[in-house]
Amino acid sequence: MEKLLEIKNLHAEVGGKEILKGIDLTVNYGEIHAIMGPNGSGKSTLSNVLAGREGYEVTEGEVIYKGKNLLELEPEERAREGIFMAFQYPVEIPGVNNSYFLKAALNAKLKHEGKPEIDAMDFLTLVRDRMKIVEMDDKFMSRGVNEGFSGGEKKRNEILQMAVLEPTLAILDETDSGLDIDALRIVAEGVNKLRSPERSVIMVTHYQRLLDYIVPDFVHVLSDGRIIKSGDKSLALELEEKGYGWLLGEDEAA
Amino acid sequence: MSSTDVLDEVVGSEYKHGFVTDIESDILPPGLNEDTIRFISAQKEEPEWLLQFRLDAYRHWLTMDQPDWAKLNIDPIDYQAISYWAAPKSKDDGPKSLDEVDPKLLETYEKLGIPLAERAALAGVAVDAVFDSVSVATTFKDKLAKEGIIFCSFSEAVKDHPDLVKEYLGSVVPTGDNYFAALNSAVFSDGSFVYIPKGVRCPMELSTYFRINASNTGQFERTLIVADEGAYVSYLEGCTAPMRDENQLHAAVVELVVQKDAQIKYSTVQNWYPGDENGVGGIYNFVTKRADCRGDNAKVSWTQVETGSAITWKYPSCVLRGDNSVGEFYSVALTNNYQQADTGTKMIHLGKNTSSTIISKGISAGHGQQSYRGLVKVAASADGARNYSQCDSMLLGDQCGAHTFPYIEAKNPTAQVEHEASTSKISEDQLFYCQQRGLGVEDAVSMIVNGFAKEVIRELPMEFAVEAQKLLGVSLENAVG
Amino acid sequence: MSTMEHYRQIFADADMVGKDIDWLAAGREKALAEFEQSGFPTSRNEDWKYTRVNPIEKKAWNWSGKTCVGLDPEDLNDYVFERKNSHVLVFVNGWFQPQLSTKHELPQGVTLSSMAAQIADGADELKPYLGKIAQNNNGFMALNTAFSNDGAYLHVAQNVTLDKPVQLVFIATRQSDPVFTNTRNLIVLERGAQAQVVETYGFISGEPENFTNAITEAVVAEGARLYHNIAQRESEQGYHVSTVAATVAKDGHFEQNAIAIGARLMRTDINVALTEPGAHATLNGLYLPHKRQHMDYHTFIDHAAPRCTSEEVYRGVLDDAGRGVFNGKVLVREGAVQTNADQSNKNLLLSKQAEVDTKPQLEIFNDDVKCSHGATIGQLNDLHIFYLRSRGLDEGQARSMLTYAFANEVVNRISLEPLRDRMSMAILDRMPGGEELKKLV
Repeated sequence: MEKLLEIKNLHAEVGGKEILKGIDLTVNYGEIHAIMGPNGSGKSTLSNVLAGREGYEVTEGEVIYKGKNLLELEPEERAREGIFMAFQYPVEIPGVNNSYFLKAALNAKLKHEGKPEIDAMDFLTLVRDRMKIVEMDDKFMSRGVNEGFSGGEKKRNEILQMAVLEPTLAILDETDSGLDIDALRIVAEGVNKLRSPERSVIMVTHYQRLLDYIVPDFVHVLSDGRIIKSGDKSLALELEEKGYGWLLGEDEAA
Repeated sequence: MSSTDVLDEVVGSEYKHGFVTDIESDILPPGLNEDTIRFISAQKEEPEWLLQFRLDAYRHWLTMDQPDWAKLNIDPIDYQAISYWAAPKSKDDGPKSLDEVDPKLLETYEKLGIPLAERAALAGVAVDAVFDSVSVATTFKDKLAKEGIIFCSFSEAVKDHPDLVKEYLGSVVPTGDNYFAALNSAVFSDGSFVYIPKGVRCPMELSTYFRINASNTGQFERTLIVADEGAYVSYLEGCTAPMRDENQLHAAVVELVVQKDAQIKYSTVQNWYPGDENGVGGIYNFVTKRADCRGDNAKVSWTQVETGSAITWKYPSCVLRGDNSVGEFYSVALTNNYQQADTGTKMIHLGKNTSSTIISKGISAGHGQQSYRGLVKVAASADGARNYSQCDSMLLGDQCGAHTFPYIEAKNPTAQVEHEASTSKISEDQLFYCQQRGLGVEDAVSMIVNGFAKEVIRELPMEFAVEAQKLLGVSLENAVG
Repeated sequence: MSTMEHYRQIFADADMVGKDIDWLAAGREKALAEFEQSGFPTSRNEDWKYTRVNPIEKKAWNWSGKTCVGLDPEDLNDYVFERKNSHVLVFVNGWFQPQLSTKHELPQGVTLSSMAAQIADGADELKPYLGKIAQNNNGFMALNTAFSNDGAYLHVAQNVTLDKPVQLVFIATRQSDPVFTNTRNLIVLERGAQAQVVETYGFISGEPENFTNAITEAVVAEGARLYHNIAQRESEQGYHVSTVAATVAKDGHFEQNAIAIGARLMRTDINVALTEPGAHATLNGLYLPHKRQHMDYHTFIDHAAPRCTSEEVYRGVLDDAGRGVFNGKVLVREGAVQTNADQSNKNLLLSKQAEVDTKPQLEIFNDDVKCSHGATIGQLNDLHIFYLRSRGLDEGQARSMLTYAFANEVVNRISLEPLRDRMSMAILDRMPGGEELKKLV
């Protein structure tokens, strides 16, 4: 199988404090990886480093994406190359209209791919179609980006953006946090509809419950900035049953 | 009893420091001219350069007009009707030790709750007591001297440390800075001088207690505090005056010099006589206070609780020259009866990554009028400057006023300035809630006001915080209409 | 010749409208005397601390009589929207131009005319209002009162709603002599009346160095509603000084949007007096100085009666060496109980040379109030920029989108849709990356 993403010995700091202490991870096309771990283990840091957020400084290691050095790309270049991060806390941007924002993002990507920009009618058709996936109402498109949205609406908006931008690598940063069961189902279905052999997903989550809806190929446990255990979906179930303490203890014993 | 009656009763509580000390004093007849200044300078055996400093200031003052831009109603002040020198008569050149201090003076300070005898003194607080125009006693001097700290009256500093005084005097507040600063520079009598050497953390709070006793006198004290590189000091001042029918003038200048990595914390509880309930008498309190953060990482913090004076006019300011220097201003001002206060701060951001915080809480009751007046200035050089200001006013009674005049000037695109202000009356819901839980109106008001002022009070050293809370309670108790 | 002699001279020479009407002539004479007394304001005056008017003072401005202009209505398309659906009164260099204007049939009880025509036909109708709402608070206002001849007059009778908006379009053209225009508008809404008015200040033919010195007086009677807009799009070589003075009676409603795009130097004072219980004022404003433009908004809301409310939203976007001034004063008088007043002023500094001075003021003389103000100066939010970039927008695009959103906070408050669209476009014309954004919005 062809490699999409290869993370080698990745170390990263936030505000001078080392959070990631040597991550190794390979994601092939079409795979879904779940990254689990207790609070403060570095899960969100990993997501943000991959998306290129300022303030997350890589001190060692490399990240190869589609055969290229990901770390030297600007955030928007990564996005145009097909990396999409669904934010744990989607930002409210008052006054920036959801619809034209998304159109600008899509056009930036199309332009990058050497394709013509989408016209207004086609865009509308596309968005309406994708909105069905996340069961969103038309009225959200005329509002500001996430402005005044409930927690669930924000997460659905993230998935809508993902469905429109059709990324190659989707990173879902704690997308399940703060969602009630209905919203969780809608979000999960949205992700499942986008599953394809050309697309990979990294799901960062604290709980196993999301994995009931989006079944991963691999599960990794992150603790103190390192992956301490990898396995298939049964690892998640075991974790659910025994808690993180079990693994952390095991790690210490080893 | 209605809540109004209760308030009247509470507000009607008397000024507790209004007694007069019957002491033999040398008082210069009223009037101001160059001879007055020469007299003061001669009395204090000052060097020629200091006399010249005074005369320059006086000549500049003559060219100036009293500012009228503050939102204050001030009866014209006759500067020729004021006596510019009043000193307790002493046999010799002044007391050499506490034993030589007139027992009546010691008694005065005991009454004020400031024992000057070191054995009885407040633990951990060194006190310089200023009575009318002169410093009468400074405690713990020797102990501080061991650390290399100089804490003495200004007059002594002129005699014993002339080079330090000469270097720093007028370097933060120039003689011609404003009308009252110019007047002070010409006629200042005494005050405190503090020097903290490099790297020294002053082991105790330093405190000055000011007392105006003589009638028809002005008090013009001068305070100069220098924190050398890496030094730290916390300094407190308290003020009281007897009750008199005429207005008395207090025009002080405080200069703080904060070098690299140094920090000065300056706290004031100002409780000059505010005048009676009809607005007769009281102190005119016109004060210039400024700190100059000269080095990187310097920090200065002004905390003030202003409950006294008929008129208060003061804007403790910070010049943030050094990179990463920090200025803070925490203020509670309370005006009742016919008191007027126009107070606030100036934060002048010059250095990179300088930051400032302004928290101002105004409480207005009776016919009290109060203004917050502030300036936040970000110069083009101040990359990354930050300011946060919050000015809240609480109104108690329908005859009072609360006004907010913030000036914000920004010339740097990386600056972030945020100002918020609100004005509202004391919450009836809160009052009712407290009453429903069994509290009397006066206790409820006092409690709510103290809660309102808490952000500022908690910046005060412990002894002062307790005093400040009591003062607020006493000064405020009639505030609900 | 001194400044004063100059104005005295042209005052004597000018062929003023209604010069035979005693009260009007006397008012002008008195105003000129006031101007001679006060002169132009200086920065020693606290209200003019941040705005120096020397460039205006230095020039000997001339009074312009009626001039013939060879313009077609189409030439004004930039400034006029939906002629078919609004009343349009066009003024060129201060004088009403019927051939460029469009007046549809007016509802019963509505007068809409040029001030000059009204002075000629029925000056007495103006007498109770002119100079009564706007006092001559400074030299500019006195100068306007002395020299004003034309402008617009709108009177809406009791309970009449003027359904079509009224557009007042003031155009400056290039002239050989520097010319000042002293436009004077009067809007009177009787009890329960409603109207929407747009004042647009623009220019045609090159960038004239003109000086607009305007005053608008507005009376909003009990229960009446006035929606007032000002689009200041003067030449960047020109000067614009104006005052809007409004009084709002019981349960009346005054809503205003002021957008400043043009002029080298602008100073606009907006004074609203809430004189009776239940009156309301909304003031929104946006200033966008760039290059070396200087824009100064002074707003003053006078809460003089119980239960009045006011709301104020002002935003500034400052680029290049642009300078912005905001002074927002709210006065709550004794007895004006149950007052609710809220004010917000936010500024975005885009350049190293830009400067903003903001001064929100609250003066409150009774205890039964809820008043607040907030002012900020800052930059675009880093997290917002990152979010947009993480979706593929480049940094420049992200910045212009966020800047546009910031400015639009005010524009979106304009209730008149075609004007809102016009203003959005005008802002985009001004912004870096605006052209690209236009394609999206």
